[in-house]
Amino acid sequence: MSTTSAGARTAAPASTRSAHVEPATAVFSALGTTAVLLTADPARADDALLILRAELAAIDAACSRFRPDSELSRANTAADTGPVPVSALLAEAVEVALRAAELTDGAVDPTVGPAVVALGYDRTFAEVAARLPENTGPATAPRPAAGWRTVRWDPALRLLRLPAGTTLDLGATAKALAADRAARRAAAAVGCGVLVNLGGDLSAAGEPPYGGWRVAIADDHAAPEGGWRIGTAEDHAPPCTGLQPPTTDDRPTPHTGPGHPVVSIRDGGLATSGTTVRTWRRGGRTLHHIVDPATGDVPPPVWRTVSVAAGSCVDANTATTAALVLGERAPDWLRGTGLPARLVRTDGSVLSLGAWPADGGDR
Amino acid sequence: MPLPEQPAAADRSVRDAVRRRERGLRRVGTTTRWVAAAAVAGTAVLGAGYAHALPGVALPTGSAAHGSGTRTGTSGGLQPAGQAPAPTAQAPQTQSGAS
Repeated sequence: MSTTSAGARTAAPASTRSAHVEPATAVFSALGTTAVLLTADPARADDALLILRAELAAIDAACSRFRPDSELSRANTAADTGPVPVSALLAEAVEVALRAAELTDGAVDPTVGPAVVALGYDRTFAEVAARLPENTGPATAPRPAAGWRTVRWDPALRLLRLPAGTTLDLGATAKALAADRAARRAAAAVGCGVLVNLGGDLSAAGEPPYGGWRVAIADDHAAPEGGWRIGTAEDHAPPCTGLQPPTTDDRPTPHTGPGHPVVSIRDGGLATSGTTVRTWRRGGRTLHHIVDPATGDVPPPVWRTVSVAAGSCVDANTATTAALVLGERAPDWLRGTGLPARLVRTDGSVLSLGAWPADGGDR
Repeated sequence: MPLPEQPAAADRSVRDAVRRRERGLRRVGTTTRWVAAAAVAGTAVLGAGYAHALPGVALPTGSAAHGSGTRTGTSGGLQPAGQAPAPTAQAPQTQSGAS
């Protein structure tokens, strides 16, 4: 265990445990979730971490809907007032979100923001979860999304115009984009394999370690039963600031949990979305952050968790989010994409699609 | 006897002058129309260019776009990874799950 100069808690390479050097691990809180950085060459971990932190700060400043000073918040405030010029980073995030909407025929829609707010997710999740009494409030009528086709976007001039009453929620696609950008930039800069994990959405770039990156698949990205334990999720522990001595609770603890598969990946993205983690109560109902843009309400409960591997974290996250919205139509849609996928029904039964290995296949 | 010839010469001279004046007027008219057409076309081109370039100026509906010119993956759909996930019995290095 070691601590990087950037202040994140890191696990030392386990070179004494294996003939192959294990990657260095850094864990810290970011974007309202847990950020994990694996660096294949531990000697380059500090440099990779600096790049990841810079990327996360840039994404947060551009795309956060919870920061009133973010570029996205200013663009949302300017809805119906004419085109707003945006930065290159927000432009990329908008394009990624619109592309996701197009590829999913609107199942993943960035104009779902007002619907999510109407359901009660109108501030950071830590604040939503802390509401009293028991997160209950009057139920609000579901508010269908305006639809991504109402967004006027000029990619050449980077001009964004939103119709009245529409706000963008770049949410998951922006987080996945941050993982992709950071992994690519860090791997190119440090010259070794890098994996960035933002709240369970992973992106890998560069030459992976021997045997690939080993990833446990669980319902909750921070759950100990998945086989990898952390204690620094923002909602559970204070964020890392400055140099801190490592503690045993911070250490990634590999232990294979029963029923939780472990897969190895070499490149691209792997994302998991679910309906059991980011939940709250309102109007006597349990709600979550996956909203069907067509109804403005949470989709019918069909899948508990969906994992997909793809060429990028953005594509993987797009597929997992769409699958939860599509419900029973998800398997056919996922087969059409050709992407390997693992879907867990609400009763716990597992459906593996494409080239995704069956659970326990190599145990 | 030059007197009978003088009216005929004068007539020819007048007719020539009239023809020259009419040719000149036609040239001026043609030139004016070309200049006017070029001015209209140039105004339209420059106006469209400035309207497109200035923030805050409404874009014609047909010129706005959804998505981007760099959305390389759109036509091919969601892109697969170079290698599918493989099962492993080794301990995980990280974890994927909902957040």
